[in-house]
Amino acid sequence: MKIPVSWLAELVPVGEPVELADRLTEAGLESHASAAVPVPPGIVTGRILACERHPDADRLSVCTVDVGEGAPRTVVCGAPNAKAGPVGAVALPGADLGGGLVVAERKVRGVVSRGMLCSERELGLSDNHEGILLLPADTPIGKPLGDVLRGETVLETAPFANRGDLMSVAGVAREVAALQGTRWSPPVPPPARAAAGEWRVEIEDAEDCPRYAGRVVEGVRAGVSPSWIAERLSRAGVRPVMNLVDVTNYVLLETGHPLHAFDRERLRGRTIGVRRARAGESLVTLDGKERAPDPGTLLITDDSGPIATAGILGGASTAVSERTTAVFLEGASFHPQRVRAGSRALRVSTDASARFERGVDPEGVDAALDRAVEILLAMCPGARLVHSVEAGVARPSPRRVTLRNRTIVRLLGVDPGPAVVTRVLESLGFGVTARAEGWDVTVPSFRRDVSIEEDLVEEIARIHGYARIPETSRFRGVAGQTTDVRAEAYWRARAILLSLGLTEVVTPGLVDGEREGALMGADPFFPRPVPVRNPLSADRGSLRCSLSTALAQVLATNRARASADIAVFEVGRVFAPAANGTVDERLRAGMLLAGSGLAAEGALGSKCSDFFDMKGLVEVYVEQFWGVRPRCEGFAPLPFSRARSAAVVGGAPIGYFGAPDDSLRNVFDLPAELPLWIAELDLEAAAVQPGEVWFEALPRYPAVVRDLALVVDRSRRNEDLVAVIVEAGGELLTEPRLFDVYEGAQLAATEKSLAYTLVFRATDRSLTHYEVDHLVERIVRRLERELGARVR
Amino acid sequence: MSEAPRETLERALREIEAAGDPEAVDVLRVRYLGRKGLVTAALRSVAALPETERPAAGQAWNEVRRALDGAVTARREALDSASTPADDGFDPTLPGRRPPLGVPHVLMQTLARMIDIFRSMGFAVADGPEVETPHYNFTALNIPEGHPTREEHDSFFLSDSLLLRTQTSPVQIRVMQGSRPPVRIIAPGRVYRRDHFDASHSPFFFQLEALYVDEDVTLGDLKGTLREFARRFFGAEVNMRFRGGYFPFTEPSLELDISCTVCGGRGCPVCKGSGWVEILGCGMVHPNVLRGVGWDPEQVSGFAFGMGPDRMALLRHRIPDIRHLYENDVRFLRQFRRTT
Repeated sequence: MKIPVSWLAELVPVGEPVELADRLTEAGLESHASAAVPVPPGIVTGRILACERHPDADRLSVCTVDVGEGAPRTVVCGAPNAKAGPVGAVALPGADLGGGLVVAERKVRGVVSRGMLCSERELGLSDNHEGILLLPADTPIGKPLGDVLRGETVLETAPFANRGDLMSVAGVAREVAALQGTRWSPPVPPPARAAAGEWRVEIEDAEDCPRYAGRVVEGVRAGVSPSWIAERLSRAGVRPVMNLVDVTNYVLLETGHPLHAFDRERLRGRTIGVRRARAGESLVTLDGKERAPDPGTLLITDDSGPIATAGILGGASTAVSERTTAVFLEGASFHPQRVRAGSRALRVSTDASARFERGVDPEGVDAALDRAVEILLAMCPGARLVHSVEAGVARPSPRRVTLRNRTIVRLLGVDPGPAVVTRVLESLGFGVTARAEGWDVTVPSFRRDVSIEEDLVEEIARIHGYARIPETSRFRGVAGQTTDVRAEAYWRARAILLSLGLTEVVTPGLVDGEREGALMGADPFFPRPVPVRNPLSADRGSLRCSLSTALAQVLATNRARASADIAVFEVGRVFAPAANGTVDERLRAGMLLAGSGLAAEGALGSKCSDFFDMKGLVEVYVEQFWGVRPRCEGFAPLPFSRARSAAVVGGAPIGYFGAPDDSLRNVFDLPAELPLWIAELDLEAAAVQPGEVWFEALPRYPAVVRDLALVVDRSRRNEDLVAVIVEAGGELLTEPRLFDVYEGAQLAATEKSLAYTLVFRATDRSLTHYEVDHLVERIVRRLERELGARVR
Repeated sequence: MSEAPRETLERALREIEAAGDPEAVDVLRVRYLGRKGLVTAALRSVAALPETERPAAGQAWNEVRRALDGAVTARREALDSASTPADDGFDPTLPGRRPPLGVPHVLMQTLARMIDIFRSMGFAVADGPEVETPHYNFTALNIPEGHPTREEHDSFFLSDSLLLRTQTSPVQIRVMQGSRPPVRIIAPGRVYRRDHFDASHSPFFFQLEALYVDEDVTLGDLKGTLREFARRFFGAEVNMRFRGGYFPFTEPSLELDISCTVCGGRGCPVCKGSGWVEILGCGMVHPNVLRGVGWDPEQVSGFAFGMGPDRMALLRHRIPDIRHLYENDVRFLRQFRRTT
């Protein structure tokens, strides 16, 4: 909300606006003091002495303007509101109004104009271009406009959703007075009451509308508002329209009570209804749009049907106009949720609806109407109040809260003392009566946010000043919990993957469900993504079901921007639909190697990563994380390729790795020739729990090492050879290590050669060559017999 | 004679510095420091001076000898290292083979740092689901029916009974339900809100929740805890400002600003000229929240706060746009390889 400081100063003494804004901010009303918009030089104030119709143009007037130069200037003006009396803003020849508009002395239809009367838009003050800026008649003339306006600082405030009472100049004045410890003087209009006559108000549901009141004023004359009202409205960011509307906006800003002026002559009947919209109803609102409100929207009706949406926007059929001579002024308190529902459904938010949504004080309704009537009667001599009508409760019984001093001290850690408690609460409008070890507090009706003791503690703390509460940190004992297992797993997995040289990524949790779903097969490890019911867009419409696709997206982004040579990982949650409509959250680790991503930085020549680079990463990671060496077997389901993938098993299935299926490459536009390896592993698989690491005795006797090169059929797998070697080698063979694979000219096309280093060692003696020869011979014989191998 | 040591020294140093190869240095060494060298001769001649002048002259010439000795050695080493035995073709200026270095995401670095600080202050790390029920995400946190955040406009729903958590605060409830006071936990994790992407908003981001409930936990304790955190995270020079706030699950509610990390509080675009940037919301746990988990607000009290690691990362590293965090451009990510 924009609050002109001069307006505020009328109700409460204010000091330096910037300091005031800081104090309000600290007390919970975010405020910013901004000076008026700078005005270009060359614009001075000038009194319009006379204003006559242009002899040759109906729409133009010829004004005589005194800019304090001795002789007045003649200025031709096209604004409908130009008139003798007030002070206008005169751009003198030479003034640069921006946008290429430089004012010059020139003939307008035969009359020489020696300047220009400016609108607010021309001055860059607002968007208002319906007429020229008119300042009060007592404004000094011949002064630069910037100087005249400079006194006008505006306070921009942003109250929290629970503080509807701060959406008015008066509400902020009360807050300022409490903060400063000064008094404030709210406007006290004389009560405007008259007989109801034939007027009646019917409220369908008192909960939707606890209070509704009306005032009928006759003999009003529509026209422009007095400049003091127009000016305040403009500075508060509200466009002056005409006096009958401006008065409601003025009272809205001053008191926080939205009012509405109906043209009495355009109302059908004398019964005003407040009820929810019915199916099929519609009305044309003030903005000229035909609207069909939801059944949840609250309407104001007359005998003809809907005439306004309650608390949001008036209707066109009953709107005031230049011809209006009598008005029905409406003031009310509507239920916040009703107005919010209506505002959402109609997609309209107004100054009025913003206040009703935060809650409008039912007790203040009549005073706000009284104030409007007071101003209206002053504006329109001859106008008079003829009827007043009301429905609902004017003064609901106030809330009472018992405040114990003990609660204040327990929550704040400091005792501000009874004087502070009483002063703060009373200055905010609370009724305070001391009682044993505390106070009985009456909550004013405008403070809908206060209902319990703790709310009062907040009032005391924020007005007394949070800065005055001493900082302590008394931690008693140890809280006694450890790190959550899931969190622990998360941080441990990350640390391992970082140590492997991968770059960490953090990808969105929301993905394109249709695209992802199409990539997944039937395997439950990669389920269909869980859709969000109300996504912002389809490409972020589902919860991710896999890290593999998320990492592929990272690769696609990087390939498009700079380089596809990346090695990245993410540890995070994926989501799967579960029984009875719930969702399983699974913690996963994903890795992606592309191009030469994991090559040593700056190394000469770039080695592209292959299947075994990823297999190595997976093995080391699993060993580190689970404490077991995983087996890699079989193949992975979609979105992996069957041909170059494997399942990872370590006691239990842990996950998969390998090359992605072509469908995934296609979706992310990744070329087939780009080496690409992905792994996705579960962090919560029921695998072996890693135990403690225990010392093992170091070998005391020397090992005997033999190399064994074998030739086998190409279909034979390393795994099968190793199994036979280990079994035949017995416990003295500590490790067979593959050191060479050869296929080529020296062998038949159907053959390959695998060469192993065999290390033999006993824990209790040195082995003899005879023993080792015997073992090697046994191994070779078994290999020959079972796998058709021969020694090369 | 009194000026001679200095003049000799200066000339000799100039000549040594100008020597272009080790041989030239050696010639100079012999000329000055050799058995028949100038300095050696001068030292010898000291004995012939009157007794009163001898100590001063001896000291002066000894200093010259030490200085030249050092200069000769230094020059020789400089010439040695500059001359490369080029004959074997070894080129040490080829690039080093730098091992691949795992780089943590800057957001995770930030989160890890925050967690470290709070753990050292005795907070345990708790966890909770990202798919929540309205009960945990709203009702138990004293957010009434009809509150805007419960609407589809603000929150992502999977069904009437499931939504993506909009805050890490539900973890407060889950932790309290399963234990007895005291609790002192932090709960980092992902949250989701229906905000469109812009420089400072993302529909998904991280939060770090903290909760401390015990007998007589006060607002003073909350302030002290956050002061310590800010001092350790942002540095001792950071200024803090608590101001009134509004959250349904705390009463009183506050927000914490720190002096802008970019301009130091003078005002800049990051702090929109105010000199302050908001880093978290906090307050004393609302009695309805405590009652909801069966704890008696007459017996225990507590504080809670929630801060945004995303925002903290942006502030700490002067990253202008939150979208960088989720685009995962490796060139961006690897800027933060140097841990601080």
